[in-house]
Amino acid sequence: MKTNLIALLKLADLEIRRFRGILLGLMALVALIQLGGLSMVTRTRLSQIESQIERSGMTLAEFKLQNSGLSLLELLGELDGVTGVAIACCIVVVAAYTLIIWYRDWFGRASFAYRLLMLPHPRFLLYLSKLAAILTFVFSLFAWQIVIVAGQMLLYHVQIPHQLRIERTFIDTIRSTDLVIFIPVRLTEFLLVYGLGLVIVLLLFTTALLERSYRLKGLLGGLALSAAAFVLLVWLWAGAEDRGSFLYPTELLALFIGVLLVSAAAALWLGWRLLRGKVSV
Amino acid sequence: MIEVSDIRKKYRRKQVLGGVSFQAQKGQITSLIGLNGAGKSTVLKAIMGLTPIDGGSIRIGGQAISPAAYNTIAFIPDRLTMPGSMRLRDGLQFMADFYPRWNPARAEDLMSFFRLERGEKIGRLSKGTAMKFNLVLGMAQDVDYVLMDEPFSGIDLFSRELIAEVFTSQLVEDRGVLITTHEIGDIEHLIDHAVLLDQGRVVRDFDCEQMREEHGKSVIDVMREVYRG
Repeated sequence: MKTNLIALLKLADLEIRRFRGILLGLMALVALIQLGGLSMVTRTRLSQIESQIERSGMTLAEFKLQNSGLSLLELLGELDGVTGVAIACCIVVVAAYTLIIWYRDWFGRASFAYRLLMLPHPRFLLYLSKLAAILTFVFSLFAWQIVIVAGQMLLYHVQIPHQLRIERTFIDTIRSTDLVIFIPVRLTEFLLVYGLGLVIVLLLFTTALLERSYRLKGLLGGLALSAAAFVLLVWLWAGAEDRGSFLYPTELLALFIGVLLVSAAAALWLGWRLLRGKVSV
Repeated sequence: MIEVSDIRKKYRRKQVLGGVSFQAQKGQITSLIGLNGAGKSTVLKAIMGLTPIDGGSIRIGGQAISPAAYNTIAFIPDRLTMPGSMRLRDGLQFMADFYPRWNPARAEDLMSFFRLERGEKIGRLSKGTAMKFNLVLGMAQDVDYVLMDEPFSGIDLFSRELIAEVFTSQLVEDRGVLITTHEIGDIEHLIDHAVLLDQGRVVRDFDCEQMREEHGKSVIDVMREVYRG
């Protein structure tokens, strides 16, 4: 048990080290887009305000009284498009890496899959280590996004004169932007969003293993299974937000959680079975 | 002893293995011989649990293959099995981290014997050097059985000589070695037992010494009979 746990930690460490370049690159890109973008938008808005003040001969305080200042949310609102692109980049890269994390061991000059499948430890450790690596990937980006919001607040304080500022708390800032989907501030929201994300990762893992076991038939089966579970979950989610649904939102939520748990258990069980005796190099 | 009994495998609609049976004893070098596509590599992968079989059974020291069995058997495939981004020293560390039967002193001896540089990147190794490193990874484990898939394929003469020397050293003593090759010339004099495969079936299975003494035939003579008719 202890040996397997140590092996799992070492495998997870190996997987994390293998993608750290991609992760650091993504972090740099996201920071550059969001902080650089905010700085540019702020400078443009300030120069517009300055020329407005010059023309009217008002002071900054008078300008604030008339125009209610310049809030961070207003500036971030102008950045919605580019922030969306940055976050979409992260989602696409994480989704692609969820499959690449398996296929990179099979293809290319080095068939690392041979070595990994011959480790004197249960093969399911490979599955768990790759899952731990993907979760690290996602939560690193999640934590980084929080740091970026803090950085944006700092930048706002540095660039905007205090007479124009509209103060808001950190949580309020997150809650008022679209980022609230990716940085849920309530525990239940966090569990639902990241629970759905986790199930999607498990379904993609199982699809990759089905393909490695049964090739084209496995790929089609895996995609059908993943699509069915995903559509059902999205339908339940949408139903919970739709007041006209025939079930109460709490009932739909309970059903959503039930489907989430069944999908996760089925994907894990199938992954375990495939790795144990069906997957081939 | 490695016991392979009546293993069968189909790939798409083609019968790759049609009931292969043989035994490889500990302390002997057994060679699985056949032309390209005869099913040699598939047999080794099946023994190591790297490809599922449709029927038959495989036992290693009386036990079915399991994660614990990888402590008693090592496989040296015909290709690199470590990421190209790693350096040789990282590869050795990986083995030390995950294999309880890893023997670092023996690994050092083999690295010196093959004159391998620990700082070199695995992805930049030539085919011959990669096979030497593959041999280090397999032979430095204190295991009872070693499986090798085409260790001489596409390798220069001097590297082949160096690799063949490993077979005469104490590295293979007391172990059971199962080797596949279609270039039998390099190791013919070292083989104890030969299993000839053709189109996924065992066509001859014999003790080489006995064949020489009783029939005056070398392994190549028997191969000629089987494959040229």
